[in-house]
Amino acid sequence: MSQLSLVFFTVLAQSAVGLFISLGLVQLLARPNEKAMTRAFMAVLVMLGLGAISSVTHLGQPFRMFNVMFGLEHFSALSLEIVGLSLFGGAAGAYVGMRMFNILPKLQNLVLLGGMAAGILFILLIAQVYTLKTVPTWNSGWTSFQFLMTAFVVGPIAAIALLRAQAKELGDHVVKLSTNGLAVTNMIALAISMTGYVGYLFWLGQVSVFGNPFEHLGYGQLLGMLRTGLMMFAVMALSISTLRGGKSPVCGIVSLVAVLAAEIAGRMFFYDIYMSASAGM
Amino acid sequence: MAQYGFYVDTSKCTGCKTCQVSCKDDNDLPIGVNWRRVYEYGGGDWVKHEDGTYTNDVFTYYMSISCNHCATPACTKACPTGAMHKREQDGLVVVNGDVCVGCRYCEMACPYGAPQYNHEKKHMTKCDGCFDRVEQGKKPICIESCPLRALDFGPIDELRAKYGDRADVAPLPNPSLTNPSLIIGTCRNSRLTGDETGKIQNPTEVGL
Repeated sequence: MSQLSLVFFTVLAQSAVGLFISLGLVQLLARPNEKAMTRAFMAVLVMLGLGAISSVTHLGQPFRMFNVMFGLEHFSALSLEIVGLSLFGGAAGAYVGMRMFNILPKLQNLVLLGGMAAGILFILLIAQVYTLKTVPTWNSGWTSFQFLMTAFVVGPIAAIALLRAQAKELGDHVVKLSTNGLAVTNMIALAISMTGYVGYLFWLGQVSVFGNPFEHLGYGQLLGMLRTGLMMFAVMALSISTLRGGKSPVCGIVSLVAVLAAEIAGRMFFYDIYMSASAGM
Repeated sequence: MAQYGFYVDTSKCTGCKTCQVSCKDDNDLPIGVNWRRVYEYGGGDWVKHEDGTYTNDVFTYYMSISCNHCATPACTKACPTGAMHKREQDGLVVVNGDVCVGCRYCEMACPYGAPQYNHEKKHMTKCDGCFDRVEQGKKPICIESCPLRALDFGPIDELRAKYGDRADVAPLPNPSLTNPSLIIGTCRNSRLTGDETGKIQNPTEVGL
């Protein structure tokens, strides 16, 4: 699969946005301990960085990567995606830097909110890359929906895992309050994501293209089942554990790995379902 | 802006693939890279009757396609570097190999399979309409090598005046997507775009 690097890039980048927004809400609503939260926010940059490295490995000529800015002249969706990445990465990086060195504390929340908005914009710009009128199986709102849902399903789980891992410094009260909120949000996200997935698969079966997209895939069904199973497991296990007062960081990490695997399986399905508007040219 | 384009007469093409091979030879293309591809489109079935006899309605025809140097190309719009560009002087769509980053987004966007990734050069390559030959007053190598004289190339206005304006033949996509500078001469088996009775019969050969 030649797009495997893009599978990792899109999933990790969207997850990073979800994590940033989840941590941002915790920061704004629960006002937790400073240092532990700064470390948690750094995880966003690590995730985004891994995604960005993965995307560069997709290029035939990685040393020319800055050439992708030339396409802004004609509003190439891919150039705009990189602008989105820079805006979000820049805002997230600036925010972490401001926290670390205590720069302009009063402006920090403004940068945080700006970063959250830039994250959403970034995900929509990624979706725009794949919303091509010459690719009927991608050319719909379901592409944006799936990309946004990756953020909302993975983000809270990653945030819970990070908060649990630093429970000592953050204090039980803050961790309980924030993880409970995140767990409920995560279950709602799961319900929306799964309901939408059914709708998406139904739409895919009806889309006007030269053959049945499902016949086109060898192991697509397996990927779909894998995604559903792993995601349900990850969200339900961690949410129930959290709401019942569980604090184990291991449970958080297992759920995070499972949900990332679920999204990677789902994204592989997405790239495999590529069918152009011709009869398979 | 001048616009050059291709004419493909499917009633003359026998699927010999000389065009594909001459292009590959002239441009020294590696295995897996075919700037011109001959798609074998066919379908149909055999039916056994009560008296034990069989009849069939099988059909096939060949569609030789390179790049259609579209009026509104999906590849140039997608390209994040501007390496994939449309030449002012002749409307031919070519890649600047020194600028291309090899992200393969044009390959995703083009519904004709024209942009092809060269694993040796690590960037995109595609039919350039043999603009070097055209500048010398010759036709592209595929046109001149066709033993059936099934292909033609020239200013698209002149070709349209001569051959009509049809590009909605299967397995091609709806021409309104990219406005290809391409004219298809139909044959008795031609199926229109959107046809579901046939399919491409040589997928491995055309790199699918």
